[in-house]
Amino acid sequence: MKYSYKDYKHLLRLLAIFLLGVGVFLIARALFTPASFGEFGHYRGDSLRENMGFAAEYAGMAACKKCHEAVYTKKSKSKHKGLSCETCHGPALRHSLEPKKEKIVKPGSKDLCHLCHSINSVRRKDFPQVDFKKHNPGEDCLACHDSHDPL
Amino acid sequence: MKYNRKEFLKIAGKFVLIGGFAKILKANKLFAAVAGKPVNKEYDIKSNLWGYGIDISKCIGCGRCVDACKKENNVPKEPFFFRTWVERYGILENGEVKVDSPNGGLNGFTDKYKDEKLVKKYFVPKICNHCEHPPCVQVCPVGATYTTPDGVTLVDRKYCIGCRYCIQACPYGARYLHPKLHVADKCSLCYHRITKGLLPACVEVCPVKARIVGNLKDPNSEIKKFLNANDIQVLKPHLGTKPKIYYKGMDKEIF
Amino acid sequence: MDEIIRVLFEYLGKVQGFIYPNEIELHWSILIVLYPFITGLVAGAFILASLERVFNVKEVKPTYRLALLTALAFLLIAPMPLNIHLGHPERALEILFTPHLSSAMAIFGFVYIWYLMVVLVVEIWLDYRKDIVILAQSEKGIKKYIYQAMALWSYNISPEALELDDKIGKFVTIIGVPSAFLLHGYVGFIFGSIKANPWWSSPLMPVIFIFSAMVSGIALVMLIYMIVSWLRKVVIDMNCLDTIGRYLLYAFIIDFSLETLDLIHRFYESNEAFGALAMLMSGKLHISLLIVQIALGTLVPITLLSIIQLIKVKPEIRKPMYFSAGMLTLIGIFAMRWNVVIGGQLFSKSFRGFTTYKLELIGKEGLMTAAALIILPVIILAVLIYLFPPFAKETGE
Ligand code: HEC
Ligand code: HEC
Ligand code: HEC
Ligand code: HEC
Repeated sequence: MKYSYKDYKHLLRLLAIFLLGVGVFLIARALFTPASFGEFGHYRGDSLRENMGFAAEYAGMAACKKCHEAVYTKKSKSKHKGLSCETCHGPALRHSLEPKKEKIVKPGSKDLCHLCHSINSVRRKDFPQVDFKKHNPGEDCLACHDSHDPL
Repeated sequence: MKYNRKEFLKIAGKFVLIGGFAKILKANKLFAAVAGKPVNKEYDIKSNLWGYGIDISKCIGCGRCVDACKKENNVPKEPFFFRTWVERYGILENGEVKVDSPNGGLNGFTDKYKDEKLVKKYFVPKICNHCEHPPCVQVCPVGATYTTPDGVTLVDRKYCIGCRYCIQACPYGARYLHPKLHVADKCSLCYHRITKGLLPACVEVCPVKARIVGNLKDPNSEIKKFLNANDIQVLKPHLGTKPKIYYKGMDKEIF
Repeated sequence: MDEIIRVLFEYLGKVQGFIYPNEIELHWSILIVLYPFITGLVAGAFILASLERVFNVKEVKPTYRLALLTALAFLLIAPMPLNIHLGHPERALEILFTPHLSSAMAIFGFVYIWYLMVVLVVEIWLDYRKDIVILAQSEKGIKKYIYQAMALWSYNISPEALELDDKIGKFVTIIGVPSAFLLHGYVGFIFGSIKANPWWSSPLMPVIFIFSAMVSGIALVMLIYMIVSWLRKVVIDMNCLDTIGRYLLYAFIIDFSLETLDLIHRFYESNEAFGALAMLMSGKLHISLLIVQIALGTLVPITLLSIIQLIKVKPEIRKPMYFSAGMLTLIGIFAMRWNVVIGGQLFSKSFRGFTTYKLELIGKEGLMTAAALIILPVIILAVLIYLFPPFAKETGE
């Protein structure tokens, strides 16, 4: 051999530093990789459960039936049968759990009905629309239409 | 602003307090699942594959889905952050295509085109396409966005580094950076709801059944019937992302 | 949060046509423009250095060490714009711990560490080891300890040891050239692989990035060499400068041909996105693309450099010609990065409209931060030059 140990001693030291670096990296990696990583794929399995566990706001129409049977049955026979209670009333899960504490708004007709029934040239023609300037202007829609049974 | 987790713990806490009440509710299994425990243990992830249908010919552009989505998922209310939004298309006689989506359609639509003669017109709801080959997942450098075994593309809020590469990679503009959490955010198909037997908020509130969701592995599911009974198209099929959001009544101007 | 909302409302008023509502926010700011610009300088400077070592272009020897130190100074800063831009900088290490291998970005951490530690630092260390050992023995006080540590407390500078260093150094440089290509080619791939974005999506992107990197790196080292010589009041080696100028011209011609090819291809194919892209080029990018990047930043320097090749120009005139060609090149390449990164986000993926981008002066992603990130490597370079005088050899001769 042309070279002796002392000629590449410094190189070995450099190599040692690199190996140390790799070692530190591997240890850090083992320490900091979340335990559930890779459970289902290249992601945290816990994340999937966290996503499942997010709090809901909407209860779903079935939930209202128990306590508001009358409204429920009335609506389900009406022209508004396709509508969910929460479409108009907003999220009501917390109300369903604690009806006394968590009040929900009774929507006024002003900001509600026009969303679906105002005349709009892009809206499909077979959907009932009225011109708010001509159809009994100035009067509350609810004076003639029951929101739970509009016709 | 409220955070989902905190909010959940709060509700769960209250729920324990009113234990008596809980007993009545337990009769209703659905309820217990929503509020009583974070994860529905009975949910079998392997026998599900979520698909979602949108019937353009039914949509009336009321924007209740956009509103409900923001409320359900704590999406920032400003008009730059949407997990779902509704676009309005109007095609004039001369072929000109007018498209807009003021505030994502959340406040409904004014009758902007009443003086124009529209030869074609439609409202088009959009959400994350939950692609079979999601480009966002492909480019995420750390594995903070992923497709679940049941076919939903989700974001890991605790792991996302906020590099926004996924936002660039999404061809549909379905992602945004949450201004408060500083992580990517997008439609989760209401994963916390569908895994407990509830409908996604947008589907729940849709007055005209323009949105349907279901299990593609179940031959009798609503979505399967929808797919079999109609001519179906997906958005930007040429990109090979294979969306699982299926559109009925899609016109060539929609992309 | 309020700040970003305020900016977004400002943008909202400036949206043209229809864009998806989530697209109003432009996500990759000037910091992400800086990132490919800086790594490009690194890769280019390194390739210039390797000309001497690997390809035996002896004329550029006076810039060899300078080029390496320049590359190191800029490489040390390269990850900073990325990190500042992250929504969660504290989670940045995840990219090393759980890299998602299908993501071009995930490879960044490894390519970076490889290039910094295995290529640049080792090459510089081997090349400077003799100087370091001598300094470790001659310096006093704290500096002595610094040099001793850098020598790894091994002071053998026998001819055999140095010969070994040189051999390994050469080997490292040979690995370094493809590594430099990798470092910057992959940055091009980050953009080129985004099929959702027709302005970016192109297999030519990595190649264009590599050649534009060479152009900018060579121009930068040329400028630094001229400025440092001027500061040190020594004569510029015109032979060296001419050689650098020649290589700059070669790289530039290839770079420009590739970019033109890319453009022609877009025009000829005229796919679904072409309308939007044509509007982008003639509208929002008119100044930064056509005037700054192509006219001022490419055609003018190519012309200047060609004139020097074609006719005999006196050295007193050649110098300012090289200097202005170098400056314009850097501006042009910066504009190119800008046009790729910002330009690629201005149009909607619905191809029906455009959002806007306003560079703020202050703030996390403002002009001040960007300026600091450009000045910082220059300061680091000054410190490196102070610690490792790259001119020792020359003056000794
Ligand atoms: C556990 C029984 C219960 C359930 C489930 C329930 N509610 Fe109620 N709800 C009540 C009670 C009790 C009141 C009367 C509260 C009061 O007057 O203080 C009420 C009142 C209301 C009111 C009227 C508020 C007012 O200001 O007059 C609305 C609207 C309402 N509920 C909607 C809903 C909807 C929609 C749902 C389904 C998501 C629902 N509720 C589910 C018990 C329930
Ligand atoms: C089309 C929108 C709409 C839908 C759908 C709807 N509501 Fe209402 N609801 C209203 C409005 C508007 C009022 C306020 C009526 C008023 O002030 O006279 C109201 C009032 C009520 C009230 C207060 C008591 C009353 O009768 O005035 C209850 C309880 C209620 N709704 C329950 C329900 C339930 C349960 C459902 C679902 C089965 C439902 N609502 C669906 C619009 C709606
Ligand atoms: C979220 C949308 C929505 C809202 C809000 C809404 N409706 Fe309706 N409404 C419908 C739908 C859907 C139908 C059924 C249309 C059909 O049969 O095609 C309907 C039907 C009706 C009809 C019967 C029309 C017919 O000819 O069949 C009347 C009247 C009516 N709504 C009145 C109201 C009033 C008054 C309000 C406000 C309190 C209201 N609606 C709010 C969606 C809505
Ligand atoms: C004075 C009573 C009255 C008021 C107030 C009133 N309506 Fe009506 N509306 C009627 C009657 C009666 C009909 C059925 C006869 C008809 O088609 O005109 C009707 C029909 C409708 C229809 C069905 C139209 C169709 O084409 O089938 C809709 C939708 C409707 N109303 C919505 C509203 C809304 C929304 C408001 C509030 C802005 C409102 N109405 C206020 C009396 C009223």
